[in-house]
Parts: sequence; C-alpha cells; structure tokens
Amino acid sequence: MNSRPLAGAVGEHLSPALSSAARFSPDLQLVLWLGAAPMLAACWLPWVLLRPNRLAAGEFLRLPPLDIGLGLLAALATALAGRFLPRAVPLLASFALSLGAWWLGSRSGAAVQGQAEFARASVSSGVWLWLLGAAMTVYGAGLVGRRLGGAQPYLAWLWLPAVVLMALIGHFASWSVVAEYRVQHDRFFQELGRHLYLILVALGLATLIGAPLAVWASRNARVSGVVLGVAGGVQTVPSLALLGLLIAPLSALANAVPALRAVGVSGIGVAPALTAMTLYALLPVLRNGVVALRGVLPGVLDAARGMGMTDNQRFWRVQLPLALPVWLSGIRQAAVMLVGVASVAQLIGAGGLGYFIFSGLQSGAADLILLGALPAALLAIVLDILLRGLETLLGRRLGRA
Amino acid sequence: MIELRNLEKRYDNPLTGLPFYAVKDLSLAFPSGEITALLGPSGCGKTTTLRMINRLIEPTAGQILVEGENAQSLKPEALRRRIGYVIQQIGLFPHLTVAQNVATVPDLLGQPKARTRERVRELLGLVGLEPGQFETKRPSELSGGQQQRVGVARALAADPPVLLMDEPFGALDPLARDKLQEAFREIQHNLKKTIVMVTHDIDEALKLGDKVALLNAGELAQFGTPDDLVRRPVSEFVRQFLGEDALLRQLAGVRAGALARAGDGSGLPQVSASLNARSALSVMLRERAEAVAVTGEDGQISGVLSFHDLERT
Repeated sequence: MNSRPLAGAVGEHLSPALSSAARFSPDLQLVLWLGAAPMLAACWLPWVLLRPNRLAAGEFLRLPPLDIGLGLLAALATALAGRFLPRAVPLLASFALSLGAWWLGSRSGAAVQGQAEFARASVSSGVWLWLLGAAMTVYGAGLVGRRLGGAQPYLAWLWLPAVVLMALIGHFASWSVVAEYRVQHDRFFQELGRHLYLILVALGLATLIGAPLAVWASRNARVSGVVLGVAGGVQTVPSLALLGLLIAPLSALANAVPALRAVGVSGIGVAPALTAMTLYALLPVLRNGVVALRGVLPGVLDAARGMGMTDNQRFWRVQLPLALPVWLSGIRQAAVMLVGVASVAQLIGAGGLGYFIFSGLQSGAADLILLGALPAALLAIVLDILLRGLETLLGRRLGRA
Repeated sequence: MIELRNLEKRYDNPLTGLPFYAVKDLSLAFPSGEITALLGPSGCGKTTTLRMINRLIEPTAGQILVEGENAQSLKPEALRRRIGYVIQQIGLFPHLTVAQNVATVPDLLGQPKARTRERVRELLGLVGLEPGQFETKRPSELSGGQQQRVGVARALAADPPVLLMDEPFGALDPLARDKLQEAFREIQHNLKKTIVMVTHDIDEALKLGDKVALLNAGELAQFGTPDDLVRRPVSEFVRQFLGEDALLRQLAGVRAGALARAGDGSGLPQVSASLNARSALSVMLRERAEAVAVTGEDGQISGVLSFHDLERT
C-alpha cells in the first residue's frame, strides 16, 4: 500500500530511460533482425508458381524489380527503426506484413491474368518466407510497443484490419487455395462445422468426466496417482494409433449391442474419433484440475472451515472459485490440442478439416492441403486467444490477477 | 466461559504403535470476558488445544464446555458459527471483497442482507478501517495490518461470545503489530469477549493476556495472571521460559501513564504518558532518578512515576 506512490514516482523518473532501453535493447533488435533477414531473402525468391491446372508442373514467377526494391526497403527500414526510431517500428512491421499479403493477392492475380480457366497460381517459398519474417517483426513490434506505451501496441495490430479488408474486397481471389475453396465452398463449411463439433463435444465430455475425477483426485493421493497415471498413459499413445486401436473394441461393442449401433456407435466414424479425442483431452483437464484445487492456500480453506462452512459450502464458495482460472488453462490446452487431433480423425471417416488435408495428400494437390491446414491453424489460434481472454477475465473477477 | 476437562489428543505412531500426546490431561477454565493467552514453545500443543475448542481437531478424550454446553453434542458447523476464528495467515478469501469477507458468517447463518451490510460497516469502523474506502476492495489491495484488521472484523461479524485467535499478529512487522495490538486491546475493552489467543510471543502474552496459560509438552505448566507467572513461577521451566528479564518484558507492555500517581513532578526528568514503563525505567536509570514526571499530550505534567510504582504492575 505504502509502496504504490513510491513506485509511481520511480516509474516517472525511469520512463525516458525505459524508452531508450527499448531503442537499444539488444534482444528486441535481434528479434527485429531475425524477422528482417527472411524478408530480405524472400525478395529474391520465387513468389508464385503458375500451373496450367492444379496437378501439372508449372513455372516460378518472381517479384518485378520495383517490388523487390520496395521489399528490401521495407525489411531494412523495420529492422533499422528498432535501433534509431523505435516509435516507427509497430507501424513499419504492420506495413511489412500487409505488404506480403497484398503481394500474395496481386502477384497471383497478375499470374493468372489471361490464362485458361483451370490455371492455378500457388504461392511459393518467397511468400511464406516473407510472411514468416514479417510475423516475427510484428511480434517484436508488439514488445517494442508495450515498452513505449500509449497507442503503440495497437499499431502493431494494424495489419489485421488491412488483411481482413483485402480478403473482403476479393483481393486473394486468384490465389490457388481460394480457388480450391470456391470449388468446394459447401463442403468447406460442412467440414469446418464438423471439426468444431468434434472439438466441442470432446472437450465437453472430457470436462464432464474430468471435473469430478479431478475433485476426487485432489482429495486422495492414491486416486490421483491412478487417474493421472492412466490419463498420462493414454497421452503417450500416438493419436493415429489410438484411433486404430479403438476400431476393434468399438465395432465389437456395436455388434454385441444393436441399440448402440442404432445411435451411431461403430468401429469407424464419429464415435471412435470422439472417444479418442475425449481420452486425449482428459489429461490436461485432470492435471490442471488437481493442481488448481490443491493450489488453493491451506490457510484460506482452514479459515473457511473455522468460520463454520460445511464441506460443500467450502468447496463451492471458496475452493472452486479460486481454482477455476488455473483449471481453465488446462481446458484451453486441451482445446488447442484437440484442433490437431481432430485433423487426423478423417482417417477413420470422422470428417473435419482433415478431409481436405488427406485428399490433398492423396492427389498431390498442395493447395487442397492448405485449404485444410490453414483454417485448422487459425482455429487453434482463435480458440487459444478466446479462452485465454476468459481466463484473464475470471482471474480478475476472482481476485487472482 | 470455556472449560476444558481432562482434554487429551493422542496420536499413535503408525510404525511403532507408540502413543504421542499432543495434549495430555488438560483441565482449564477460560474466564468470560477476558483474554487468555495460550503460551508455550512450538510443539507444546497450544494450537492443537485451540483447534479442539471449535472442533477443527477432535479430542481423543476429555470434554469441552462452551458457555456451559458440551461442544461434542453440537454439530461442528453450528458450533463454529458461534465462535469467532482468526488465524495467522489471515485466511481472507482473496476472491471476495472486504465486505463479503466480513459478511461470511452472517451469510452462513442466513441473516437478513440489509442488517448484515449495516453490521459490516459498523465493524469496519470498529477495527479502524473507513467503510466507504475499504468495503469494495480485495484483500490483495490491503497491507498486512489492514488485512488482519479485516480478519478480526470478520471473526466478530456474527457477534460471537467467544473468539479464538491463532497467532493473530504473528505475520506482521513489529510496528504494525504494536499498533494492531493497541487497537485490539481497545476493542476488547469495549466488547468484553471471551478470547483464547495462541501465541509464542512472551511479550504479546504478557501485554494482552488477562490470564496466561503456559503449556509444555502438552501439559499445563502454569495458569494465572501475567503477574503470577512473572513473579511467582511455579517451576523452573516457567522461570526459564519467561526468562530472567520477564519483569522488563511485562513493563514493556504497560504505559507509564497507567502506573503514574498524582504528585508534584517539578524538577524530575520528564517522560511522555504514552511511553511504556520499561522505557520510563530506563530513563530513571540513565538520569539516576528515583522517579520521573509523566507528561500528557499537552506537555503538562500529569503525574509522577516512582521506582516503587513499577512494582504495582
């Protein structure tokens, strides 16, 4: 309490020193250069692979000389700004990432211009390298922005509306992945929906099963040993193997009990996929639950008992609210992991975005693979951000933050 | 009044099967409206004794009477809601506001919300926290001393006749502890609760305790007023535990103003009435004086404290 005004005063004296620390901090400059290096290299690499159809061999197209100059300039400016003009870093990094996205659209558009209908313009190594580098500088810019304060951290996010705007005006329409999407429009949303369905149902089941088990395990060392041991064991089995292992018992079960077959239980399809995913999600839900419940300060629980709370009141009013933010981080881990496992579920006929990935692999169509892989990656990131936000919110509401 | 009759807590060593007595054949009556300090070295069974009173620990033998009722015949939760409880690590609920913390027991008892809110404000004022300022804060926003004040307010919320305190001021720095002890003595002066306070701090026991129960290895070594223990120790253990400077420790807990008598203090060395008696004695020794003049807040001499007055503690 007493230290607060003191800390404020110290902070005020330090703020000029801090901004110079942002300018000269070697680690931040390293991040910016680590991002600029791939961008510089990307300028010389092929950007677009033009093919007469989705499977044929094609020719590589590079950036026009003027764009190469602009690219080199943008990459260098971002990295050098970290040394000489930190205030410009967030804006420059956002610009670099937006530039990559813009070129992705404009270069593939230029490539298919005047070509036959089946011609495909895939993006090539240059684009990936540029986007990777630009993303790294954006990350660095976020750190710089946070040290500078004010509106600076938000400037590092300017690329997001820029890219969304490009997507909305159809700037990426000529990109081969978007071309694939146009062909499979309905199927895409169907599989995306299936993917989400698998994740949410498995997560719900894992939470329903895991929560009471975690509560039990948090109170009993022997139970926690068994439960965490089994869940950890399941986790060591590769997802593909687990899906395969479930085929035999589940089909036997479906054969033995016709009623189960009637509700959709069989060796392949959604039922075994959900079973495997639920088993996978169980470990993070359980482990974090046990850690969170045990982590509540003993003094607080003792006080609750001493005040005259019954065991139930103590659990619901004190222990659970205090454990919830930590517990939720386990559910978040499970959700992100399930995005990946759900992609494999297609192998036993459960559908999901894996459908595009595996049909792309089978037919050697890289664009089709991306149509499955990119949304899956995005989904993982979005789920992570959403659940993290919920954690922070709960943490603040429940006095942990 | 709380009465312990032949109280015993025995643990059996699971390997050797040998019994270990945390508390052994303890009979003790904690007088109503007074503070009794449970004092002793660590492991002497003082906390175990305290926790048996509100049945956080079940005794293996003996009886506990709280206000004449057998504690064993009540439901533990019902018993605890009638007994205030303050612990060392404070144990405030970090996810609740100060007001919600203080309202815990009234809420458990299902008392009307409006009355509880009124009561919370009254209690915060009593422990020296401005209600408007502190009601909506979280425990993490308070200093250690402020947190413990909230802890005391929470224990008093349902107006229990009995208060159990487990090293309530142990985690505080000396300055905050002194202030809180003063405030607490003031509160108790008005409320006259029956208080059992566990402490390993001899100064605290002598300063706050109306009675002191000194425990050793689960058994009662001596029970009496601080004066009894300091001046009439019944055993070598009591004398050694309190130390040869026990009298000085006791004087440290008394204000010079409380011992002074009316008289003409002109020409004597002056000490402030709020100074403790040990410091006043130190002044006498330094000034080679048999007495000192005690001055009030206005700087005027309000009385005389002589060397012989120090024996009246």
